[in-house]
Amino acid sequence: MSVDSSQLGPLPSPEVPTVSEAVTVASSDSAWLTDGSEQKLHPNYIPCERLVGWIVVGVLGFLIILGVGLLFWLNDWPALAFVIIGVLALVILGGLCWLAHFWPAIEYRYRSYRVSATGVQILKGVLWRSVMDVPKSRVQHTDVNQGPIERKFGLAHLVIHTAGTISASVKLEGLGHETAVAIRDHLMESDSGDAV
Amino acid sequence: MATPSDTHTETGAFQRLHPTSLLFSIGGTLKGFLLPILLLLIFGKGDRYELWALLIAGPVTLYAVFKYISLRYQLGEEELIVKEGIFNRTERHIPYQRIQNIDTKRNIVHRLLKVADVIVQTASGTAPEATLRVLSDDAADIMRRHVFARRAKHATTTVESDTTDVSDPTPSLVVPTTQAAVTPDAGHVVAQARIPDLVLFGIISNRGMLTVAALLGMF
Repeated sequence: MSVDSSQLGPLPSPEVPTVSEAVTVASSDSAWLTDGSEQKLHPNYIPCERLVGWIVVGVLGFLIILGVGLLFWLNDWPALAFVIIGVLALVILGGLCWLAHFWPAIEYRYRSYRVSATGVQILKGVLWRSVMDVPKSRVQHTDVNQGPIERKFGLAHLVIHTAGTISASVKLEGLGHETAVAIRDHLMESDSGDAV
Repeated sequence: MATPSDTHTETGAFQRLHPTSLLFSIGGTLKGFLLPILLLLIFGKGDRYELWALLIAGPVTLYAVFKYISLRYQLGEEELIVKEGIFNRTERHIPYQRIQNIDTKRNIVHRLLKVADVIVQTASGTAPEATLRVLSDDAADIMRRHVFARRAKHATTTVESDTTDVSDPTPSLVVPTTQAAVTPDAGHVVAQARIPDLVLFGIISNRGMLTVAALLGMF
């Protein structure tokens, strides 16, 4: 595993499960999900992101080719300029294609989450790493959101709204739809103490 | 009037908005296009301006119909559930404990049709968490009562569990609020404005119109 959990500081959850957590674990078959262990995203996240990437690259590539074509059609430039700009455009397009195809798999390696009795922890970032903790008691409401491409891959993303002002909502992408619903149900249990 | 016990039987299933939502949704969007449409009607004589108006009204109507079809809400045991969207589907869960306020807004058209805009807010962010536009007055009333009843029920159970779990509970602080929550409509009038007061207030506070009146007096 690329993310070394020991570098990320202690988890917010206590090791000893509370009574309410024990009840939860007994009543649902998703105990593995809420025990605070590190979970990877759904494997379909990679092909899904790849498809989105290719669609974006397709649109961008069309625009770039159209732009370069127009540039030469409207101007009477020498052949050398044509070659330079053409090569530059191809390099940029190639880079975009590489990003669209390989980046999702790289990103996938560095994305994970933990769900425990006290809340959710979201880890992400390839170059700039971030760890976000959302205490369960501070969750205001939750959305389970599913776009058309995500639906094709059986994915969904969970949006957790807190009472903050700047990053008042935290997005957890690339979950299987059932997993997203399970985490949502876990967060929505009303056994936790009230806050706000 | 609906009591909490019989609201429960009515609130299990997913419900749609009131059918007049279509009217309010289309009307609300077209309000922004009012000036362009007027301009078209005035300066578009001789052209096929009806087609231009249709160009605006068509998608607006389609959007309203899609929204009406896709939006459903449910008053659950512990939370309000709102499902929305056709291509990009969202299922939002709002626990009753987290609901800060439920606003109902009614202008003259709403009152004529006996409906209301219902806006549910939690402590999160700037935008309302759920805007149900529009519900019938009865549905809005059932929703408000249901939420308050559930909140009160939850508060009392919390107090009970607190007394068993926590060594030093403070039920005396919590119980009065739950009683207040059970009877949200009970209250007494603290102050009421009389008509002369209102007239006086209107005269002294409407500064913009006073300026206009002063300008009119000058010429």
